[in-house]
Amino acid sequence: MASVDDLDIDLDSSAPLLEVRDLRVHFVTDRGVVKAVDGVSWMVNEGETLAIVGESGSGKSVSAMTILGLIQSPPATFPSGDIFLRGKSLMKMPEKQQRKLRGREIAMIFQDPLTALNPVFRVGDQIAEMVRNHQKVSKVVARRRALDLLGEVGIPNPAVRLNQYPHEFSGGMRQRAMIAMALANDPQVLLADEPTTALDVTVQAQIMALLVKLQEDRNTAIVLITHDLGVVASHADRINVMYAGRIVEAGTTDEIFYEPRHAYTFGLLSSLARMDHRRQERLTPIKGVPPSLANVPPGCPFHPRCRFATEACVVAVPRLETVSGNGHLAACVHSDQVGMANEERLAQ
Amino acid sequence: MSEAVDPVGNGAAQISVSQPAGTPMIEVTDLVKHFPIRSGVFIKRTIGHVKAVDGVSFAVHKGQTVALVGESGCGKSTTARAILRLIEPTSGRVELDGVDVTKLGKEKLRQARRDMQIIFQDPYASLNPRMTIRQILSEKYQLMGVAIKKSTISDLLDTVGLAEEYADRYPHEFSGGQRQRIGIARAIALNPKFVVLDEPVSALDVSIQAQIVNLLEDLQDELGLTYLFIAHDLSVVRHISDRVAVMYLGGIVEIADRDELFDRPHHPYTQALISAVPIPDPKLERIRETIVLRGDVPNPANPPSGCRFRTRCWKFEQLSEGERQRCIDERPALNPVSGSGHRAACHYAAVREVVRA
Repeated sequence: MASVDDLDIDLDSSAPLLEVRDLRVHFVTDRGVVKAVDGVSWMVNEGETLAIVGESGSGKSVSAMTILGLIQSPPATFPSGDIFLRGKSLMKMPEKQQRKLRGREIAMIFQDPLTALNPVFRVGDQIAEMVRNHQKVSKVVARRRALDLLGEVGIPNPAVRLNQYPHEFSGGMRQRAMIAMALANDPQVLLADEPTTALDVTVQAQIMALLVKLQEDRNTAIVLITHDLGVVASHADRINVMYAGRIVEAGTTDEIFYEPRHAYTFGLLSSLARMDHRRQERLTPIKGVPPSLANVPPGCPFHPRCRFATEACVVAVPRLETVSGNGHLAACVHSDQVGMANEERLAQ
Repeated sequence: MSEAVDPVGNGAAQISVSQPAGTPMIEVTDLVKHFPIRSGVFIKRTIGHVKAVDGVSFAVHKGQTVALVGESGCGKSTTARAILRLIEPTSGRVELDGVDVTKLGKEKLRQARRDMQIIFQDPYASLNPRMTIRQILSEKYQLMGVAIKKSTISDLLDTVGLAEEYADRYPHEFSGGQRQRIGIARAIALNPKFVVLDEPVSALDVSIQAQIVNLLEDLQDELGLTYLFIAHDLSVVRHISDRVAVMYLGGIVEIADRDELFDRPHHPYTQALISAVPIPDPKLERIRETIVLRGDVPNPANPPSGCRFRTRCWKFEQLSEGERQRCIDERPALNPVSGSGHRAACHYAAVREVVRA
């Protein structure tokens, strides 16, 4: 099986597996500069699941696509930041070396498998191509590997399915096929961008159970990008909450759910309808709408919607600072008040 | 209680017994919608039917909300559209406030549509991009021949929480949540009695969903609306509905009052469905069991014999050979399993706790 050693790339096994440092991804448009990602840092280690949570337009997908080199420049610019795989900068690496790593050490699963799979090629050929792109093996060996992978991701009759086209697969089966393709070269990092959003809940349960098993077998790091706080609660080890292109809170899953210290995280958790609760009188929404990334409010981008906001929130962008323990960070002027309000909420 | 076992498995009449007194606002009896599958180049022959809705019965009482839940392809949206006659039902009866909608002629149906409205999932696709909000909303009154006052549109916008100044803007100038408010304004413009909500918050951001859910509840209280809520998100369903019907492959497999359904589900499919919904509470999720079903929903053109769920049923796998035969041979009726109109269509129905543990 492929290992990092035969890539001719000098990787440092003591460095974090994947690290994003102060990444900015801006797009110049007619309506101004869209700051899709604006100073984001995080890291993930083997066997770990890091969730990146945010609503549409929060920048959560753009940061993942940048890691895979899927953001074209122009129109995008990268005013700052770097991405490190085992200490080796991906952004300073020549394109040819980047290509070696993509799909091999880092693979991605997309939300909509029908647009991510090529409709005119057989599923088996697409997976085999992925194998042969990164490993010097014969077509026969690659096909055998594709067959094994389809079986491993739980597709019944893999020998038949190998010769079928994507349209002959159901939604859940397509997502399994895409996972098989992502796993073709035993990647160390799997970026999963809303992997179950397009699926029904019973199929979502199947796919998430599959990802958990694969992670246990291979010690893969998973970066789970989603808006679904339920999926995050059941699968993440750590969580980054994004709002308007920035991380506004980061912590362990329990810290984020039980001790939120940013007003946006608190607002999100308070607004959820819960299946395990008997009827609440009314839901508690967050007022207003998420900002346009071309026109982000000054200071804390959340302040126009925030019930804790004061003038201090408008003056400057709050820094992401430690609020408790080691590694629980929040970028909120009023994190203490949020903490108290949360205690009241949990006491109810 | 006249909770007799009915052989067809459709118990609308009996279900209403346990409901508050009075006639239901909407009563659906044995609704069927089959889509023909045609083949051939010049001469189209019908070679089969997709049984999208195959004998569905339920009732919604005035001012109440019944949720129809299930996965894609289970027939929940087709049921709603057949009730409104947006597609013609193959057979069955739909009574709106005592009037059989399925028998109405073209003009009578048009008039009846004043009383029954629908709010769609995607508010962008359902608003004409070339018309201002004022035109979209005024058209509604013109079509029904209702005169509008100068204040009508601004009052209507105010009701759904939009400022009057928005009236002369176009749909693309609004966010998803605002567009859904416009969709709601259009639906309630003519004071309907009954509104179908077809996944009204599924396309919205999490922080916006609660705003729209609250608005729908406020309008129900103020205007006495009766809702049929079509959804796959069971968290919102638990919050908004009074009663819940679970559909699988064109039929209702379980129906009960909200808390009864979530706390004491009897049908193995309902149990799997509820167990698969992740709850935003990590400590609970760590101890909670998820029932993972095998495979996919079968093709509705060729459903399994007997119980349609048996090919994916976790309970079927635990049964003895003899017990299984019954699931294969005999389609289970929607029988009462406990009081207050709780019914389940399973030969081996039994409670299994799936929300908490």
